[in-house]
Amino acid sequence: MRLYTASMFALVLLMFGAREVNAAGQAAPRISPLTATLVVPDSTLLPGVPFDMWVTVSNPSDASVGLGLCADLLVKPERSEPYTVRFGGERGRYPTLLPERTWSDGRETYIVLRPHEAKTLTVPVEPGLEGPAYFRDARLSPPGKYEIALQLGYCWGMATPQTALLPPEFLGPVTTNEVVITRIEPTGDDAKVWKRMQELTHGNWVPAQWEVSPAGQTVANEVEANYRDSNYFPYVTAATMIGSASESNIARFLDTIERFPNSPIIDLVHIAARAVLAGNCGLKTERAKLCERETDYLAHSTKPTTRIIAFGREDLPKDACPPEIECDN
Amino acid sequence: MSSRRAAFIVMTILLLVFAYDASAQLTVTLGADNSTIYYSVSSVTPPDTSYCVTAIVIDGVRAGATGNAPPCAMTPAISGFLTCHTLGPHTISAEAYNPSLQYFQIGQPQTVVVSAVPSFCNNLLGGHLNFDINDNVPASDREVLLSNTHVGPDGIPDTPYPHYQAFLAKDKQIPVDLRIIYNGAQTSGITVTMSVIDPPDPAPYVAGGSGTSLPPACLSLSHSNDNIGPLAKLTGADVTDNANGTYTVTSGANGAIETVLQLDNAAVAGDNYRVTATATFPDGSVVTANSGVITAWKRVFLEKRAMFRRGVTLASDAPIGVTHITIPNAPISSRAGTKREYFANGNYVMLLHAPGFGTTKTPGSFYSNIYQVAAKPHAFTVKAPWPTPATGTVQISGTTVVGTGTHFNSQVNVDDVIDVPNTVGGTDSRVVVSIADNTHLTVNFPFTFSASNLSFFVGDPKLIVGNAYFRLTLDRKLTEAYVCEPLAPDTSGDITLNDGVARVGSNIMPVSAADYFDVTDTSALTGGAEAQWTNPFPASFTEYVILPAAGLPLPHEILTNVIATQRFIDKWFTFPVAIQSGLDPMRIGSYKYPSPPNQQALLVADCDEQDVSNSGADGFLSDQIPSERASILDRATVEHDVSVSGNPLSGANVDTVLRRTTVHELTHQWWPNGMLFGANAFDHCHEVAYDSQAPYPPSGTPPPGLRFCLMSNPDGGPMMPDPSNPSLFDINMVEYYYRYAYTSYHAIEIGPATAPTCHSEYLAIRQKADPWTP
Repeated sequence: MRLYTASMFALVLLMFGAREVNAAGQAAPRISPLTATLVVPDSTLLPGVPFDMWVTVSNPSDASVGLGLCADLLVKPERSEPYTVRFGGERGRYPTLLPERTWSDGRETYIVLRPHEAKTLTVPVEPGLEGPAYFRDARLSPPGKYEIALQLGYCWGMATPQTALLPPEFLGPVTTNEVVITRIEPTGDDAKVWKRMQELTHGNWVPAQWEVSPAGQTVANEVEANYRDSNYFPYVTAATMIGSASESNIARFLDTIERFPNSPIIDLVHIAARAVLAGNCGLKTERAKLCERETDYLAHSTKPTTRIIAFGREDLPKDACPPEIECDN
Repeated sequence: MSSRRAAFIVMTILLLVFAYDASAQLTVTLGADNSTIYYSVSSVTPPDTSYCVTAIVIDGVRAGATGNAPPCAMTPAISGFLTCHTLGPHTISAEAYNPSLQYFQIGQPQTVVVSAVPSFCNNLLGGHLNFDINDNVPASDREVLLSNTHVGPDGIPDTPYPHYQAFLAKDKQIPVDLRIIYNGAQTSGITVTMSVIDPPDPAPYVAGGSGTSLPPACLSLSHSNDNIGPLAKLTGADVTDNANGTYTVTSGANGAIETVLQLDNAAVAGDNYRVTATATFPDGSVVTANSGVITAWKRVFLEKRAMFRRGVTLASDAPIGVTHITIPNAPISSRAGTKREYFANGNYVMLLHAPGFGTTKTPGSFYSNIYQVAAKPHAFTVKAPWPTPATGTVQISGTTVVGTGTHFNSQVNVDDVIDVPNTVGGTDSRVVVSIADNTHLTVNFPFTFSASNLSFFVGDPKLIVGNAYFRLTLDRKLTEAYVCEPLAPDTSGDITLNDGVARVGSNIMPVSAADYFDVTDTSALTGGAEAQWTNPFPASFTEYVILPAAGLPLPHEILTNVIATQRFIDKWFTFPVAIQSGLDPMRIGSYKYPSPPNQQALLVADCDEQDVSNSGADGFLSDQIPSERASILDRATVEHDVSVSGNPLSGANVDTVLRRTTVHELTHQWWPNGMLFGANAFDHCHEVAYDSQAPYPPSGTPPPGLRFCLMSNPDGGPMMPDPSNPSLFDINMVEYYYRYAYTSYHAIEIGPATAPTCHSEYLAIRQKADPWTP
């Protein structure tokens, strides 16, 4: 497994910058003029759960500027030393900030913003709570306040970081503003669930991967059996959302939507509900009404993190139809 | 020859002998000295020209051979004599064999009786204890497997045990037999005292040797009694355990002593043993003899699978009888830059089906077929409302649909999906296979109920509003069904689990190797324990058995999501047995596919990004689901990197790089370094290999003889001048050295300076429990 970190890149850039200074005498390191604003729509959260984020990047300059889409998460916990989360696990892959088209498609890793252009990048909680990769880090779980920011760097992939390979319009990494998120001290059933989450993982609960870890599956089963009123319940529903259009799944999604309409994770449950109801839309049945209700909910969502999963890239122009393809319209 | 060995040989002959040419000649005579056995074997016509070696066999053991390289029109003749064999009858036979060790018997076996011992036969005069297993026996025959986990339903191992262990065919057991000879005669009634000793570990990473540079803590590991597990024990019907580390046994008929070396349950690969035997003979002489060294080994089975280079997974079900399939509007391959590949008119496509997630797999539950795209692909985006309400109402019965006020000719097409409300509040969807007129059509599969006056809709409910798709028209109707994974709706992101569509070069089977990603050079996985530097697993006393090709390559996928990757492997590999661990069988996460004991999975895939220039790895370990592991090679990434000037792999041989990567990624499944190099190292190390004289970290131009440990991580590794542009000091040295496919591990000291210990991946692998599961 080969990975090149932003710190390594920074080191190379620093060395390059130093050489430039030595050679030219006064040359200054390049600084990107791009601005990036981080939004966390739900900044008050239960401990041990993932959350949505998005970033609005703007180019206030009169020139085109490049932006790398490999983002480190910079974390300043209230009670411990700052740290950086790049990825979780040996796979070492940055979250997708901009899919090529649909959510399950490839990803963009470098974009160029035209003069005065703005673009929204998303870091949604992934279906099944299996990502983004930042949440494979147990340090983000406990109650407390955290100041977080994203630093968007160039994606080196397997290439050895070297200044000569950087596109000319790339002027350096871009760091967002800091946002404070608060992990509350849970009470009641929530506290009991959080206690179990810690017990089963020896205090190292990872917010992602509920359903793929034995501890996560145990907690999910216990919440479904014993703590149905807990605010963790919609997270369990979202963590176990990948399944067939069975009656049990349809009922589960609809029940969760009805009882926890304001949960930070509820949009993923709406997405799951639409998926299992999709075959009913258009018919003159009660199910059809539910299908249309869920479709309508998503269609009117204003959260970029919801829309990117539900509808993919809505900002792309329609491709021209190549001659070897027959296209509608 | 012991009775069990004789029985085994008889069985082997019954099973393997190629009955042939009984009229061919084997002549055997006894010399005037009543000791020397003369033989002559004539040439015969073999069943094919591969049988080019003729051997003479005495009492089931080949005693001499002559031969040529194939092809041979005739087997070679052989003649000669045998001498210094024990008193009594001996059976002489002749056989011819080929490079695959298939053989056939020449002539009829003959028996002679030796009645004298020549004075020059020092191996017969006086007392002798002759072990079957001695140091002249090939080392591979002296292996004893800790486990042999692939056993057929008949209880017979799919892969035989090593030669001697095969006589018993039991884990951790090997027969250790000896023959008591006194003045040429196989002699019964001789009491023998036996014991088991633990000789020094000969592995170069602990014993040292030429070219190695080992730290003292490693060198001190090799000594007598250095096994990790307890000493093995001797058992047998006639064996008395003296409870003091010695055993007593008396020779039986024909001087035979049969014992079994029983390894302890705590034995690990690389533990070794030697059996000693001491006896006092009638002339008062005391004779001691040793068996050959017997060594414990692991055996690991590997399911290696290839992946098609081009293709996608289905976006919707494709039932029997339809002439089209629907796929996502997505590239069918990875790419460098912006060039995208899509299916085109005239392409051959192979449709591939695997059983649903969580179901029991059988060989017959996987199927495939090749079709040809018969028209330009049709691109469309699903628009709301979807499915679309149609005019009129319908009456349904079986596969017949009769409309009232309908316009089937204008509103419905063959292969369209029509939907009607069912009796439980849901929808029944069927594919239209023919349209007779505006009010009559038939569907592909009977409705589960009959009703009339139903509103109906046209459109495939599996397709998502707003998403873009291609419809591929095929050259003929599907003769089998291809489906979406029932437990993974499209919006889950797990479209990877649907049945696949691969582009292939022709409609001729087998598919061309050019159609898929694979590695054919797995030579680094196998070999003998002596094969240092290039064969790390055998050097860890771990034998890899690469399972026979289990089927076609897997459908093409860009494996970007670790958990989806593991589920993809779970679905398409043959070995996993699904275990339902979750409550609801309708959820995909309710199923686990634990890695079988001592079995590993290797998938040769495309790339972990759609754009190979963004790839983060040339391989990775899939381990995000507990108890499940697989190794993935990103062949497209390596193919790209070797073609890019300035890349550390520029100009390297793809297969050489992948030979190394194969071992690297499979080593990860053993997790040999654990957290030794920090939590963020993910089992990687940052050392040079133990045979390298170079210091770590190296600097500047690579020092001569540098060998990075196979598990070194280039991330943060030392930099070196770019060979293509020495003015640039920007090439990652570790990654650059991937091109040479060095596959040796490190051996280093760890722990406090006052009490250092030795750490090596070799040691870590061989000392894992057996059978091993993650």
